[in-house]
Amino acid sequence: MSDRAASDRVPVAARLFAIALLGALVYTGWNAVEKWPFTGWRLYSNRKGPTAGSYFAFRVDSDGRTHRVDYQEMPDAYSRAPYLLEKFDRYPDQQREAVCAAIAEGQRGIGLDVDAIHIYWERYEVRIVDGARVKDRIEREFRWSCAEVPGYVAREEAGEGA
Amino acid sequence: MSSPATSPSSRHLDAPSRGRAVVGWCGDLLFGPEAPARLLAVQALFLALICIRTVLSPYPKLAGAPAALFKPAWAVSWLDAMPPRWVIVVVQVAIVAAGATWFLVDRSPRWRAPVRRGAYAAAWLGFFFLAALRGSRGKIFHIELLLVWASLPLVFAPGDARWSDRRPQRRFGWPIRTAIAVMAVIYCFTGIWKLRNSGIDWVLSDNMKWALAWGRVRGEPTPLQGVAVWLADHRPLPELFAACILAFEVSFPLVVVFRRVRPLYVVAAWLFHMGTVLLLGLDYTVWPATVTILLIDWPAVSDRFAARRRHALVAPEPVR
Repeated sequence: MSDRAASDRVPVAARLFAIALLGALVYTGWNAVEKWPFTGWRLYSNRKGPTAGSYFAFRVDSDGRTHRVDYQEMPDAYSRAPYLLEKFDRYPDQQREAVCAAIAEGQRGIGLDVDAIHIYWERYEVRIVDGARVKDRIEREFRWSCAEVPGYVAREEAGEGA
Repeated sequence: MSSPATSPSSRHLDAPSRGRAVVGWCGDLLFGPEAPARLLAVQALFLALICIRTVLSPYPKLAGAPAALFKPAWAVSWLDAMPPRWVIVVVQVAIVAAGATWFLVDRSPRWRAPVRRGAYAAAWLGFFFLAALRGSRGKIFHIELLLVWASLPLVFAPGDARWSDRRPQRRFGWPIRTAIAVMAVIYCFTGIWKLRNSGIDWVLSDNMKWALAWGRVRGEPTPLQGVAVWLADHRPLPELFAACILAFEVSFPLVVVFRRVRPLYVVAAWLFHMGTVLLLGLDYTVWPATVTILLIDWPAVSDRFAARRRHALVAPEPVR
């Protein structure tokens, strides 16, 4: 065997590494193990329909008016908070309160008046009418009030602000 | 088809020899030879992509996230809060410095191999850390994951590859072939899960129609939202798109075996992911970039261009 042929071998450690890496990806992929960087790769795998629902956060100001929380106005660190809201029904009260407090703090950080954060379940329907997309809210249900300032008293909803 | 180093005609072999030939052929899919020049090109392009991504992505803005919004990814579960801005910036600078070092050390033959290995590993680790921070916000963040996984085998690649060396060798081949297999597994699973969760209805139902109609769920509308809605309203275009996407993802492992189909998958990856950016607002452009880096035989492309240039130079002037 020539020197070059002898030196042109894949080290055993490299072979083991490659097989272990592929084995780990196949195992975690098949079993949908969601431990970053391992994941099940379930990207957009659920069927979409004409309706979709989620939890939404609303800021309640000192006049009792509710305003939808706009995450784009807030620092980038808050941009994924909506994903935490999706799991709200699975969170214990303490964890829910902590997320609400963080959102309230973020809203105050951009100069907004916050007496409480209200979480609503909302469901929307999308339709195509004359070639244009029409999105309607078809369901709205109050679920939680959190991050309340001391002395906050829930009032009859004064309406949804801009 | 991929050309295994050992390709005896199996018709003339007895059963044990045939078994060994099959094992050897399978082994070559992962550990077969590639030109050192190709490894060098793939490493260089991965580093360039990692550096571009590091500079352009808003990683420093992750700093300052309240503790309640920080859900550390498994890989950084030792962190109890998002690191401060200066830590993120230092990691970004370190990644770019490692990338620059990898390119600059080419002038020093003595240090080239060890420094290149160290620089590539440092850049990968830094990028892994930043990507983990992005994935620590309550939901798995997939956009950078293909690049993270596919560029990992090259961390263990030899550092002494030369652009002038075109002789295929196994020790330069295994990192590329393993990376291609990793990418194939990932793409295939994205398709498999569509079938497992939704079945063939992912294609045959109104799934794609409604995906196009909903468009971007959060943020500004996509540049081509009007086109997306038009497509959603014109059957069977949504079903056709869904069928193409599923076929592309599930069949992706073919690139491991058949070299000839690789350019097709590069084109398909760009069409698919540019479609998701423009129609749905999902920016996965790192994925087709990764596909392109791994599936194109860069030295062969370079040699072909050089040959055409030479041919053009020596070709006689047309008679007027």
